[in-house]
Amino acid sequence: MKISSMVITLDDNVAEISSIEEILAEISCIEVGQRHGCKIPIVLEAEDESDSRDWFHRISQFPGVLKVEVAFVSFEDLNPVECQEVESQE
Amino acid sequence: MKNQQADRRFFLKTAAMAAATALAAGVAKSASTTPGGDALPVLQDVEWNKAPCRFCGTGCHVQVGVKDGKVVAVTGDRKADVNKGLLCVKGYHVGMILYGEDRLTQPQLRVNGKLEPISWDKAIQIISERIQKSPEKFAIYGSGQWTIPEGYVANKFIKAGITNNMIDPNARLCMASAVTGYIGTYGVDEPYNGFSDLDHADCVILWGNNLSEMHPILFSRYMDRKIRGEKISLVDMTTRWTRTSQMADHVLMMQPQSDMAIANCIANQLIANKTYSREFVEKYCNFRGPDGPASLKGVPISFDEYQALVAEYTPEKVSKVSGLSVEELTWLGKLFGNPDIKITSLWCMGMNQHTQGTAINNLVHAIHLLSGHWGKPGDGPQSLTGQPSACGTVREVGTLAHALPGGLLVANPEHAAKTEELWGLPQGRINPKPGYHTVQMWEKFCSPSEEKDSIDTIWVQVTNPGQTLPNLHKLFDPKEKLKNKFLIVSDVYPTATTKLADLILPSAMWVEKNGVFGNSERRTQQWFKMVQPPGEARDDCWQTLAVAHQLFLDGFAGMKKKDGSFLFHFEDKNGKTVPVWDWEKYYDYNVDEFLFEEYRQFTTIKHKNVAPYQELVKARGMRWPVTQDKNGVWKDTAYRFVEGSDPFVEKGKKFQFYHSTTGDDRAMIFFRPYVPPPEMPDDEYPFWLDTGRVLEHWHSGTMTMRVPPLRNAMPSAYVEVNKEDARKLGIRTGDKVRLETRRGELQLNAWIDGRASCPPGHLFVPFFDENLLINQLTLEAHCPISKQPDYKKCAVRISKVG
Repeated sequence: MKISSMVITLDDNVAEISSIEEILAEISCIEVGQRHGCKIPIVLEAEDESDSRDWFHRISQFPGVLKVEVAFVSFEDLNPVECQEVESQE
Repeated sequence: MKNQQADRRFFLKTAAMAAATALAAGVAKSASTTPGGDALPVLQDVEWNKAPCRFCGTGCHVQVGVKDGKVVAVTGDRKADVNKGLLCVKGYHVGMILYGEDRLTQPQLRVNGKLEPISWDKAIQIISERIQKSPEKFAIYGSGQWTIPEGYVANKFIKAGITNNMIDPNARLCMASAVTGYIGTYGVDEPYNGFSDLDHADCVILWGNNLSEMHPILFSRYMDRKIRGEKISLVDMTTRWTRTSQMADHVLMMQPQSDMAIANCIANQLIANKTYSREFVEKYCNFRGPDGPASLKGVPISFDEYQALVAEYTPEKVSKVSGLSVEELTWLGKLFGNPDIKITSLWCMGMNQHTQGTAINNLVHAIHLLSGHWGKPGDGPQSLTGQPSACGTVREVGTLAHALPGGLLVANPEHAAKTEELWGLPQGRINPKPGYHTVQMWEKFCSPSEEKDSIDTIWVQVTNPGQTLPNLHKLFDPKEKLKNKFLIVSDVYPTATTKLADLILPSAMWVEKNGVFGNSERRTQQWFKMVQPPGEARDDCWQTLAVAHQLFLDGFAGMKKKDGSFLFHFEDKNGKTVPVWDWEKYYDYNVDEFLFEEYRQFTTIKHKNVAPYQELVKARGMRWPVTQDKNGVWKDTAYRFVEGSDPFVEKGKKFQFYHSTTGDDRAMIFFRPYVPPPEMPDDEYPFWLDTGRVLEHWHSGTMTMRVPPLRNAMPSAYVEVNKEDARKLGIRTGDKVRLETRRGELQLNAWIDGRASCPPGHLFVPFFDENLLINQLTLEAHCPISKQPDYKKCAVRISKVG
């Protein structure tokens, strides 16, 4: 597991900002933070570096997304299976 | 174990969200929000420390998280003025560049065609012997990625030790024309302004600069204002449609090299429409005309003569050369003629990699001076750099064949005498004859050893000329078959250059060593070593010092000061000699600090005062000149030559160009005529070839191709082909095509209107791929003043393979 966080900037003209937040919230590996104006902070839990990169690209291509910038990156490997097991116990 | 993992994951996610939320909140308020807050992600056992990013010249600061001797996390540094806590996608991966699988970890010597591991002692001895055999035929080829201490050591090694001045950097290939542009116009190098102009401009004009991909964080500063609804517009003057064009308000698609005619056309209109700033020009400017193609300082001309020279550049005539419409050119003229807006011009390789690079730099400065769009926040011209320390190490330390530290010149007797004094050298040690510039150096290395002026040994540090020199078949490849040529390469990974190396030295990189960089806006940035380099990899700085000391022990006269002591003799506070050549003790001291403080003495001579090392330790970079106020506080300078900002401007002067080439505190408004490119498409080679970078890869890909997500996202080079051209040629995306120029040919895959889009008759190929060397095809023709080659335009033909 690779954990990183980003700031997504939306176009001011996007009619339904909340619908983009909803789309993001439905993606299991993304946690959406509190929006500030047209800026949405998110945390991404990707499988590996390639997956991180793919998500970065995919999010950049969402309609209404002007840009995606990086705030934090962890290069530590967290075993996904173990994490999942613990999560279910919680 | 499971609970530990869960805790770790929770901590990481919490830290990650805190970082992003803080930035979203801060940036949402204002792009110019004062950076602040010490808050760093709280992660168990992770130690955080600051460093500038390793990649481009923007100089974003990152906080690097280290655990168990390994970089495990990176976050944007919220205290940094440059990036305010944000990073681009390359910065995202900067920590991973250390951990490619094929790091060089041991010195290797080529014996009978094969590389064999050798000891450091033997490697140092080999270099020393090679130098002593023919010191006049030895050269160092360096880099804008050298740290300031690394470049300073190499420069002193050559200028004071070897005394042939044979040192030049890869920055000759990327920003030499900006240097000569500044010197010709203001009498001294480097931008007077900085990135904060993006927070104040009403209009940003990009002169051949794909800012969104090449300097993404700077582009973000513009975009943040745009998003907030501020009245700011973007003009993209370009030869190809890019991601930057997509976000621009005005895209002016011009013909290659026509930027010169466009700039003269703006000047013509400013005068014809009487919209130039008469007050600014009369108080602060002189006029200069060309005195032959290689004239840095030009000859004096009157305003009337200048007016007559630019008069022929009418919108109607320039429209034919540039491809811009008369309306577009007229609009540009009116834009610069409007005194009520603030205009920021930015440029990078599009203007610098140009056979008239100095001229176009002069011309863009000229239209800003002429129109009075100069000296106010957001209102002025500024060059950007592509390497993290092209300014700090090359331009300020003077690692060019003609230069000395602090903006001094080898050919100037006063400068040479001052240098001899500061370095403790006997009088006359500094050789007044400049060494070879980059293209010349490699031409001489690729010439038979018997030729009198040939170079036989080059030591390459922190760069990859086997991939980045132009016309590689002429300037690099012949080495393989020449006798008595010896190539030494210090690097972190195998490269196109190490393929022909006779001796390879493994280097430490980025946070594996102490360092100081200088970014595009005069900002000097310091960091400390955080992790150990792999295997036997060692600092480049140490490598040069160790060879210097070996030469000293062998009795090489140049490595002695006039008192007979070692050229790099330093003493600690107890008066004890610092053994800078001894790797075992190298980090018992901060060698960088000794070197930097010695270098700092040079910087006060031409008002480039860098901050004391210990002040840099506390800061996220400081823009020189840095001076102490009456309370003893060290302060940096946002705008040079501007009263109230620059401490060296006299009271009441408002603007003072105190290094003016005419000695009267005035800047030069140059006329430089439009000159066609040296090679243009014709019947035989009917297309233009443009080369450059892509978002995923930095320069020759040595680092970014070792980062799996970046390599996977862009695994190989391609040729970008216009859709209509492709249709006519029967080429589809993915087809193998052959590109041929008068210098070579290359086969690669076509990409029709990919992420960017060429106009008809134009092709674009990125240069990051060491398996597809586009520089086998490029032209080594260069600016007669800056000696910087043009990688952006030559004639090429394309055909489908099979």
